[in-house]
Amino acid sequence: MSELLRIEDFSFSYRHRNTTISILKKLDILIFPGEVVGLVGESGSGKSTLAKAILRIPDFKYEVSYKGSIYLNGNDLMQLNDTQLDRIRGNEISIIFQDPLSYLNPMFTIHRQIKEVLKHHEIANGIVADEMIRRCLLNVSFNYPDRIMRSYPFELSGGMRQRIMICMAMITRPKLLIADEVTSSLDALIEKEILDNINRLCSDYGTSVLLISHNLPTILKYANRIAIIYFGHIVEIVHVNNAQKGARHPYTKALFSCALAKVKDGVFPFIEGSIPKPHDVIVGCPFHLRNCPRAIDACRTTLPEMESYDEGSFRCHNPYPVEG
Amino acid sequence: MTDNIVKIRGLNKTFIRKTLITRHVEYIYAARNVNLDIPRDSFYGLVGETGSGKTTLGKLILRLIEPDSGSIIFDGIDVTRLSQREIRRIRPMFQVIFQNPQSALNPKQRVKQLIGNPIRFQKKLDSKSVEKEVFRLLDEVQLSAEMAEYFPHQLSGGQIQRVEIARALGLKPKLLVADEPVTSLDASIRGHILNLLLQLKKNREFTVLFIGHDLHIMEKMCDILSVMYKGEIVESGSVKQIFNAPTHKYTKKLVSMRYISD
Ligand SMILES: Nc1ncnc2c1ncn2[C@@H]1O[C@H](COP(=O)(O)OP(=O)(O)OP(=O)(O)O)[C@@H](O)[C@H]1O
Ligand SMILES: Nc1ncnc2c1ncn2[C@@H]1O[C@H](COP(=O)(O)OP(=O)(O)OP(=O)(O)O)[C@@H](O)[C@H]1O
Ligand code: SF4
Ligand SMILES: [Mg+2]
Ligand SMILES: [Mg+2]
Repeated sequence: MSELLRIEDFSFSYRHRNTTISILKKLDILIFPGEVVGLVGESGSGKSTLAKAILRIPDFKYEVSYKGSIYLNGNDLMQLNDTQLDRIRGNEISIIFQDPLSYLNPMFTIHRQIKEVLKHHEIANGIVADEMIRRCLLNVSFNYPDRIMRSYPFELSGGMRQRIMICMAMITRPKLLIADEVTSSLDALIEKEILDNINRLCSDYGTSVLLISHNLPTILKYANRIAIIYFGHIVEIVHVNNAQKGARHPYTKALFSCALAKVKDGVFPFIEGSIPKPHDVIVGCPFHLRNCPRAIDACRTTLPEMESYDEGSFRCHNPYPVEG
Repeated sequence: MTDNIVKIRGLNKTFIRKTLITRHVEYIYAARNVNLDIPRDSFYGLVGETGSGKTTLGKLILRLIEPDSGSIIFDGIDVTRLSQREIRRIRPMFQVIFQNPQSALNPKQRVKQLIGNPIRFQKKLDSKSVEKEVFRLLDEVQLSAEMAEYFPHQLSGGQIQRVEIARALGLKPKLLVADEPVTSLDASIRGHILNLLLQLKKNREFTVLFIGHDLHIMEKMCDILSVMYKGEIVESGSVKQIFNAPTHKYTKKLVSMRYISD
C-alpha cells in the first residue's frame, strides 16, 4: 500500500541574532491511509512545530528555513506556493491546535466560524451548511448544538472549546487530521466518545490521523504506530503492539515507565535532568546528557543513524535487545 | 473541630445570555447552591464533566468573577464583602494556575517580567533579588535560565504551562487554585511538577484546590474529592470512599472507566 504522507529528511530551523536554531532535525515519517500515528515526546521537543510545519503555518517571528520534503499522495508540499497550499490547509489536511483560544475569532459566534470554513472551501452554504454544523457538533458530544452555535468562544469552558476545534477540523472530511493535544482537558468519558468518533471517521473515509498527546494510555489505545521524538529527532518508531515491551530506545523506555509506572512512596517517577535548550549544539546522542543507562563511548561523539528492524526503527548505538 | 481555610455557603452564579434576534433568554447555572469546606493544608480535588462549573468555582473563590449570592470565607474573612481594593491587598495569599495560560499571560511581556513583576510589586524586592528568585523558580519547573528572555509565543504548550506555574508559586500563596495544571506536560515533567507541589505541602502552609480530570493523578494527589455536575457539587468524600462507592451516576461512569484503562 502506498503512503498518504511521506516526510523525508525534513528539517526546520530559524535564525535568531545570527545563529541558526534547529528545532526539527532530519525527520522521516510515513503515514498510511486510514492509519493513526501517535507522536509523543518531552515538552519542548518539537511536536507542535512539526504539526504546523507540515502546512507551513508560520508563526515564528524570525526568518525560518525548511529542508527536505513532505509528500502528500506523491506531491511535495514544500514545492507549493502559499495560494496552492491554502487549498490544502483545512481541507485535505486539517489541524487542531493545542491552544484553541488563540485560533478562534473572539468576535464571531461558533456558528459563524464553522460556516466560514465550509464557505472558504466551497463545501456548503445556507441551511445545508447549518445542518452539517449541527450534525458535526452532535458528533463531538454536544447534546444541545443550537445553544453552542449561538455562543462566543469566551462563553465556553476549556473542554468545550477544544471540541469546537475538533468539529471545525473534521467537518471538511480531510485526508489527514493532525490533532495536537485535543483531548488533554477532557475527562475519560468524553475523550473516549471523541476519539471513537475520530476513529470512525478513519474507517469510514480512510482519514489518517497524526495524534499528538502526552496521554500514553490514549496513544496506546488509538494509534497503530507510535513515533517518539526527543530534542527534535525522531528516536524511535514502533508498532503499538510492540510498544510497551519491545521498545528499543532508552528514552522510549524511560518515558513509558514514567507514564505507566506506579507511584512509589508518594513520589511520581521522572527522568533526571532536563531536555537541552533549542540553541544548544550537542555532539553525540542528546540523550547521553540525561544519564542514559545504556550509554557507551560512541554516544558522546557521534549521533546514531536511524536503523530499521522488523517491528520498527530506532536511533541508538546501544539499544535494548529484542525481547524473547 | 477542623480548621478550614475556605468555607463556602450557598454560592450561586448564573450566566445569562440574550440572543438579539429571537429575544430568547438562556440561563447557564454554573454554580448552584455550592457548599464547600477546604481544610487547611489539604489537597482538595475537584472533578466533573466539561462545562460543569469547575473553573467558574475556582474563579469565584478568588473573586475573579462576582457571585450572585452566597458567602466565601477565606481565613475568617468574607471575601464577598471586600472591595476590589481590599481584595488586591490579600491577593498574594491566593493564586491561581489558569487552565488556558496561553491567553492568561500578557503576550507583550518576557518570561522574566511575567514571573518577576508580581514578586517585585508584592514583596517590594530590589531587581537583583527578583532576578535571582525568577531563576530559582524557572529551575524549579525545569525551564532553562535562557527562557527568561522569551515571549509566550516562543514557548511550547508545556513550557507556557510551566511559566504559569512558576508565576503562581512565586508569591508563595497559602491557597493555590490549580486548574488542570499538568495537562500539557509529558509524563516525566508532570511527575516532577506534582512532586514539587507535594514537597511544598510538606514544607510550609499550603492548601491546593486541584481541578483535574485524570483520576490516577487525583487519587495520588488529593486528600478529599468533590464531584461537580451541572453547577452542583453532587458528592464529596475521601478519595477512597468516592472511588470505592460512588453514588452519583456521573461518578459511577467515570470511576468505571478508570478500571478499563488500567
Ligand atoms: N515562535 C517561536 N519562536 C522561537 N522558538 C519557538 C517558537 N515556537 C516554539 N519554539 C521553540 O521550539 C521548541 C519546540 O516547541 P514545540 O511547541 O514544537 O514543542 P512541543 O513538543 O509541542 O512541546 P509541548 O509538549 O510542550 O507542547 C521549544 O523549545 C520552543 O521554545
Ligand atoms: N463568561 C461566561 N459567559 C457565559 N457563560 C459562561 C462564561 N464562562 C463560563 N460559562 C459557562 O458556564 C459553564 C461552566 O463553565 P466552566 O468553565 O466553569 O466549566 P469547567 O467545569 O471548568 O469545564 P472544563 O472542564 O471544560 O474546563 C459552561 O456551560 C460555560 O459555557
Ligand atoms: S545512543 Fe547512547 S546515549 Fe543515546 S540513547 Fe542510545 S545508548 Fe543512550
Ligand atoms: Mg506542543
Ligand atoms: Mg475549566
